[in-house]
Amino acid sequence: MSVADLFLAGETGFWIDPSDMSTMFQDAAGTVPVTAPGQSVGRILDKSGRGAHLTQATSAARPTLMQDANGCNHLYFDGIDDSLSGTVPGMGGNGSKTLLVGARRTASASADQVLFVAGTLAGTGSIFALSGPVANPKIVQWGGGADIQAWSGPGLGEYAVIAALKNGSELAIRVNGGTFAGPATVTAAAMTSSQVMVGAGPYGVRFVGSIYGMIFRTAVTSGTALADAEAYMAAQVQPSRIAVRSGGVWVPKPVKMYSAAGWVHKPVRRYDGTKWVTL
Amino acid sequence: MRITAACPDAMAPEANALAAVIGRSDADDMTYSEPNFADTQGNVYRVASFVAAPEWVASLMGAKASGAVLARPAWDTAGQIDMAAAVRALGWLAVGPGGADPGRIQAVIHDDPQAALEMLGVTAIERTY
Repeated sequence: MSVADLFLAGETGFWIDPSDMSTMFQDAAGTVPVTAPGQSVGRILDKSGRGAHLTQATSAARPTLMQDANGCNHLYFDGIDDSLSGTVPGMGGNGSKTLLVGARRTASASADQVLFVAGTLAGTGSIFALSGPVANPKIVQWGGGADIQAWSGPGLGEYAVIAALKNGSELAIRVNGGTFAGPATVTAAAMTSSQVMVGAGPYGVRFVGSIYGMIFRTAVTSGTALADAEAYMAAQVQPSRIAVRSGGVWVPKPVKMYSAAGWVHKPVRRYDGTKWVTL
Repeated sequence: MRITAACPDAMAPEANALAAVIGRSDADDMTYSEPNFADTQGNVYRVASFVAAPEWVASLMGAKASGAVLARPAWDTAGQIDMAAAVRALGWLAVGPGGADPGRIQAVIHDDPQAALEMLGVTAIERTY
């Protein structure tokens, strides 16, 4: 199942993919394309087909497109003022939600680092949020005071695929394909806002590091669909390796093949949501 | 290069006016949007960090050194920017090594924003979300 398939039934949400250069612009209006790493990203298009594009109008607060040693594009958030925001219609109420993100924290912080917030962004109200990965990351459904927290990783500099899942009144966190925390039943007030924010929370708590991709949908994701989405995101954060299941979690594994020249690294292909591409 | 600037909370209106002058739209008037960092003495700052071309920095500091008149940007056809405030901010701006100071807008150049914060001697004000 591809990422695009997650939205075929009309689910609202968004899917951002920094590896797709055609989706990024330096300005919020979308008139100046991003052409190379090192440039600020003021607008990144939603690939889900729902039109929930994310923007940042203030020049200094835009994340930067970067490319790591694996040749992997990511949005770098400086932890000072960077964030992207947008609107996801139909997100209100207290329905199920799925957030999947490939991330790498690059600086420690004593406080939480907010990767994603959906819902009321100012004042009081219900939110659905994922903070971390830091020492105390958690998934939160606020408005009823409920959250799940308690994990010891991923650590500084580690690549992580994190899934924050809300299935009805149950919250759960998965890290690298394995259950990390939950499910736990929570009682929360209904969300009344359709705003979303990436890389920061509404009160200035910011993420320091890289986001390699993010999928948010207002529906339960489980079973094969969730595993496939996690594998896709694992390839986003480390495309030079293949993610395999080992001990109940997704781990990167280098692949070699024998040729006339001896053992060589096998060309790696990655599914970009519409087609397989050789890296 | 990356610029990280610590603006004393009281200087935010002027600093935002300067940010708008050198920015691309009225949204840049929100560059120093929140008092989000503090030094060890408890002074509160609004910190912004962004990537800029070396020529851009040289041009800005050249304008400061020469006392050149700041030009209202072409996009500000409605005259929203307080140009006098922007000029005051330029006078308070210092670019180079140095810690955050309640008496100036201190900008440091470092590719790692976290290292820049250390140079400025400020830490994030802890909040929830």
